Amino acid sequence: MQVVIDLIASTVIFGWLFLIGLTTKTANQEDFQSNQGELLCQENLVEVTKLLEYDFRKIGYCKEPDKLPNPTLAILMADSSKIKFLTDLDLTGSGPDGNLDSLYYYLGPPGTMSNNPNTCILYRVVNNLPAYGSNLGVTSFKLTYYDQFNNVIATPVPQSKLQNIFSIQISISVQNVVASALQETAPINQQFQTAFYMQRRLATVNYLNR
Amino acid sequence: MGRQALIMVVAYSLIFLLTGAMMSNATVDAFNNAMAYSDTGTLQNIAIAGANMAANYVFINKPGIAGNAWWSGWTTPVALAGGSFTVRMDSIQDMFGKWGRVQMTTTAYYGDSTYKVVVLFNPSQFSKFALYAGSMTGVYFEPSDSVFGPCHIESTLNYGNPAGGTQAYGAYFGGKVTTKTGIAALTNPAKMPTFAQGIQNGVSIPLSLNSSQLSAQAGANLFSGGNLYVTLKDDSVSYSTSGWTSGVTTKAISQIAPNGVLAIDKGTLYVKGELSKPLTVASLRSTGSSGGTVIVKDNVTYKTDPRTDPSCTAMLGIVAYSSITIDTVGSHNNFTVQGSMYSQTDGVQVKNYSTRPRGELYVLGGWCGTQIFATSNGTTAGLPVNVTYDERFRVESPPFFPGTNSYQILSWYE
Repeated sequence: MQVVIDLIASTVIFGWLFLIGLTTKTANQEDFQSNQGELLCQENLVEVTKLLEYDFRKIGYCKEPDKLPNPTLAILMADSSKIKFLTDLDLTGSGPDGNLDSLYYYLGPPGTMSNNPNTCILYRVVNNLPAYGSNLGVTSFKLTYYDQFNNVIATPVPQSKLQNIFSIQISISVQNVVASALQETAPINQQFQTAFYMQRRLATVNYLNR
Repeated sequence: MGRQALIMVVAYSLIFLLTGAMMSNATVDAFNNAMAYSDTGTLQNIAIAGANMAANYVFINKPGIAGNAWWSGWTTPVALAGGSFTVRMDSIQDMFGKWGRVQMTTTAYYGDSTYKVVVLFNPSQFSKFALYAGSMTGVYFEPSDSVFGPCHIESTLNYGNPAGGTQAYGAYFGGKVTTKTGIAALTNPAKMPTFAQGIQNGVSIPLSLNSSQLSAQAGANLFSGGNLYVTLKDDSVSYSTSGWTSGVTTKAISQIAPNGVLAIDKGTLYVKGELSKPLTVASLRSTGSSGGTVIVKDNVTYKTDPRTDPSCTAMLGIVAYSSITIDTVGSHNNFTVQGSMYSQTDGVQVKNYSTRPRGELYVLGGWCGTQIFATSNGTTAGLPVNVTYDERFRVESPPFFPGTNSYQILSWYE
């Protein structure tokens, strides 16, 4: 009788421990996934930010300034989530070539490239070539334009007011392209890690230097 | 039983250690990512700060111009914010092969990374202004006035409304505006002008005519005293000291003005015609109290319009120690001057402005002088001015056009 009780008790205890182990594993897995998601999200944000900072610093830049004597004409189009401007890009890896290039940033429609319905592709179009972009989880790309008196310029900025742009505020939020919650609880319990970036900057020294 | 328990504890510990390590790795990676971004920012900041410090040195000491010694930069690393930077200065040519530009390369070092900022400077000339006025005594910008291009007032920028005016907007300044002593309303009421590219007060850029440099560049063909009549003919000039028709000699600009400067000292220069090459015509006054005047006898234009012809290299500078006068012409009322005009001690004046037939003075270029004068009587006579800025003058200038004895930044590459 005592043996039977021991067997039952040990089975219960084993089952209990087994369940604890399973639960722990599941929780760890979800935490791990969540952490990895946050890491991915942060890395994507850094990459997008670096690219934008690199390009926005060069608004109105040309290695041969004679080809763009008035840099305030460099912004060709400005809207709340798209901007097109002139710059001199390093297209070959050997530095700017002294020829003007156009660069066009715009945000594509959401939910076309991942299981996160919020993410969009931020397109970067060089010289009117076909649009290419990778899904780095951008969910919003908002541009706000200010004049020299710090007044917001309404978007889309009309052609006659493009030269009034004095500074640009860039806001980006990035989400993980896959959910961190387990499949069993999806889609109710899907967790998309989010990172947000905002910077107010002068539209580069080139833009206002003459 | 004890052994199994021990194994179980060890196994669980291993599982926990493993998952803990994995989660820790993710955290460490995230931290490293943030640190890498921060390091990149620090590196860029060092480079930008170094470039700003060096640019400040260039603006204060003006190396290589106005008789100042050349500066090679800071070749020994300068410590800053846990890193360091060096600065190298190089003299370079522009795209037309003309020397005078300066390239400043700042290289920042932080950890094992480097970052460069390349700044291009150009000696600054007065031709970069669409409008420069040394003084605005008694005159003001009214609502119908507009200036498209950089503008500097070496005193107070006056604005106001003509008597009885009820305009809703003030004058319009499309380019950057600088003044020495701010702005002031001369009438009541007065509408505040629009400064589309901003306004900066407290900036002093005094007129600076380097007569000896222009004389030197005119070389052996510097005329002295009397009158000089110059007709521009594409890449040549016809000139005479006795009138438009007598004693006329025609030579290519490359012969009569190999350095691009045709000048007369202590006399009066008359000019008209059409140009297809860079040229500066100057009337100087090295000594004495007379001469140094320019009279624009008839239209002065470029052979092709630089606004529509990118290959147009024609660029005219009209420089006078004293006044530049727009003469009267019997055959037409409107007048066209394509070029940048510079008057050291006077300004641009319109002859008989209050009685001559009403027309328009079209200027493609710039207008620099000590004083601004009325060009019409406001209603029936004279030449209201329509100045269009020649955008090429932001980065280029007519040969040896008077300089501001300073540098301007042409481009900033990061």
